[in-house]
Amino acid sequence: MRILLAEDDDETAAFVERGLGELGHVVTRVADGEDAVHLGATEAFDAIVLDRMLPGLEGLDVLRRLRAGAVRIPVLVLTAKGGIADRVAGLDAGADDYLVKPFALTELAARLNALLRRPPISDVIMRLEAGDVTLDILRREVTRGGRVVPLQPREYALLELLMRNAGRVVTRTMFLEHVWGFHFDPQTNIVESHLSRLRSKLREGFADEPIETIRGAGYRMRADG
Amino acid sequence: MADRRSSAAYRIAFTYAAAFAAAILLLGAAVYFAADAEFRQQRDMAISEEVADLTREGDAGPEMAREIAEREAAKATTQTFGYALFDPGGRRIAGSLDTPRPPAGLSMIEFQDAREGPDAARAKAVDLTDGSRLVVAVDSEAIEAIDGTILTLFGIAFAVILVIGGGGALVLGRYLRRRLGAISDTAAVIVAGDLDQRVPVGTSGDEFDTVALAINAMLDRIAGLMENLRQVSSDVAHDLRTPLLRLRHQLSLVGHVDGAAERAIEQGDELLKLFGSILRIAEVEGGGLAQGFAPVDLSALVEDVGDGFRPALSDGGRSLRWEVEPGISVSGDRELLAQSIANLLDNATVHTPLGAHIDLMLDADDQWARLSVADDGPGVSPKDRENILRRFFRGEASRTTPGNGLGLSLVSAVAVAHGGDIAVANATPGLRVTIILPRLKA
Repeated sequence: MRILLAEDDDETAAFVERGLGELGHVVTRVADGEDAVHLGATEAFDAIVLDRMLPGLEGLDVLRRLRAGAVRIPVLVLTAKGGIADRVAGLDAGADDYLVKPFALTELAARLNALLRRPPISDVIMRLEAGDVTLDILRREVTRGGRVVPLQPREYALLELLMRNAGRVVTRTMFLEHVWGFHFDPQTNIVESHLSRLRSKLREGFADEPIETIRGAGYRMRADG
Repeated sequence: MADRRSSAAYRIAFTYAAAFAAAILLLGAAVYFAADAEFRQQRDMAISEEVADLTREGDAGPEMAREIAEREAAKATTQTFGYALFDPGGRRIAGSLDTPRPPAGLSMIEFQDAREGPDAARAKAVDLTDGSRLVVAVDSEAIEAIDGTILTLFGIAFAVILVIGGGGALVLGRYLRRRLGAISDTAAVIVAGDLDQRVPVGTSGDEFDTVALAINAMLDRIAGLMENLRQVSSDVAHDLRTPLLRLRHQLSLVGHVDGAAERAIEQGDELLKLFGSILRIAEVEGGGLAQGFAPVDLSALVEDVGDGFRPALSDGGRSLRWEVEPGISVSGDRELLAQSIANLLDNATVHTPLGAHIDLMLDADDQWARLSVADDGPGVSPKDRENILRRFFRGEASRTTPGNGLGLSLVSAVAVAHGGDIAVANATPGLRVTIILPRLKA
């Protein structure tokens, strides 16, 4: 995947470049806003990682210009500000996701992956499949090996997020944001508890485990079941 | 005197005195000119009447001379009018007014006063039928005397006002400077570093006392905030030392002990979370959130959060019950309210033993929505209950439990930011934390 990284801080940029490079992405880095607009509009990237504080042109202005120029590439905004109003401003400007500094590289990678594979809006998906697990979005019904698995609404939401990202890591904060709408991390392990229930329901009558735990990163739905 | 010139108090007092004196001066001038004009007009009328009176008696030389002599004799002592009769040749033939023949009509003349020498007078001259000219005159001295009296009176008044006003200005200026000086002296002492100083407040309850009271209230508030800031800074420094030391220790083990690096990262994450909490509280307490407030269905939110927590709580060996009155809405920030409920549940979980029951309740009256989380754990000692809302506070009994002592501080800040309040009570046994929020009318 080709990723455009707009980040003025050399240390952060090197850290992200190296990390994403190791994961097989090709990273092009620019250090100011004008370059980001220029490259983002003229070259074909799969995603843009955009710092909010850029010299020349502020991150959100870069984003607005790109969106005004009909650039539909997914954009993940990085910010040192974690305030409530800041996040809303970022999403309003057309960001697809938002990550507060400092962040773990696994978190950034997982979120980028989720953005990269996001299907075009025109493709209405009715059904998700991962191995022998299927999820019928219209009927909100989950089956494994043809047998219906009854799930609570939250367990269903967890599974849907995992299956939309089958084969890729979903982090704890992604679960909190998508399933609960929380942009904070409660002390109580609410994600783990729901996941363990979901897992035991999916495991019933089967020998293997379709959801893997990726230590220090999150969880992953095995694409092959 | 240099500082007196630059003093607003003296400037105001002196300006006031000068304005008063100027007003007296103006009044004096007006009285002087009005009186002078009036007297002159009356004098001219008196002369004309006297002339008319004389000419009625007879309008030929000899009779007139006799009449003049009579009147002069009668009025010798008062000397109101002076008379002169000139024959057509211009020679004075009667009357004691010693003056050359004036032209006909009203005019100012000069005559020889027997005692005082040359003197000015107002005269009217008319020609009689035989060609002789009658002159009746009044000495100007009387009017000049009255004019002089008026001028003298107002001059004295002006001088007195100037002296009294100036003295008053000095007294008033000194008084104002003394009262204001007390305030600026206190301010100077505070600037120099003594924050305990307060402006002295008089007993009269006047404007200066009102200002002094307002300034003192402001100083109390600032001192409170400073104390809070000092407390928080030292708490932050103190509470960050422990995790930083742990992190340092863990880092020193990297390369020697398995998993040390992962544990160091975890401890780094904990530190970041701690900073996140501090910043979040600062953001909430900083104000300005209200402009982003929107109606939030609190009933649904409480059920939602409770529902999200129940599996985790039961996995942790505690049971959660909730009793939620439907249809209660507040104006607020959904995320912060959710985090507050989550913090209350976190708090109840962390401080209770296995098997504890946690009750989440929401009800409301007309004005207030009341959300409470109660547990049947060991509760909190009355002494700790007072401090439980303080930042970084960890009760004696919970030194070893997870958490950073910021959870309830955030809940408190969120409640206050929403125009509500927080209360901590004994649930016998256990602890009940209640927040009230202004209810949004449907």
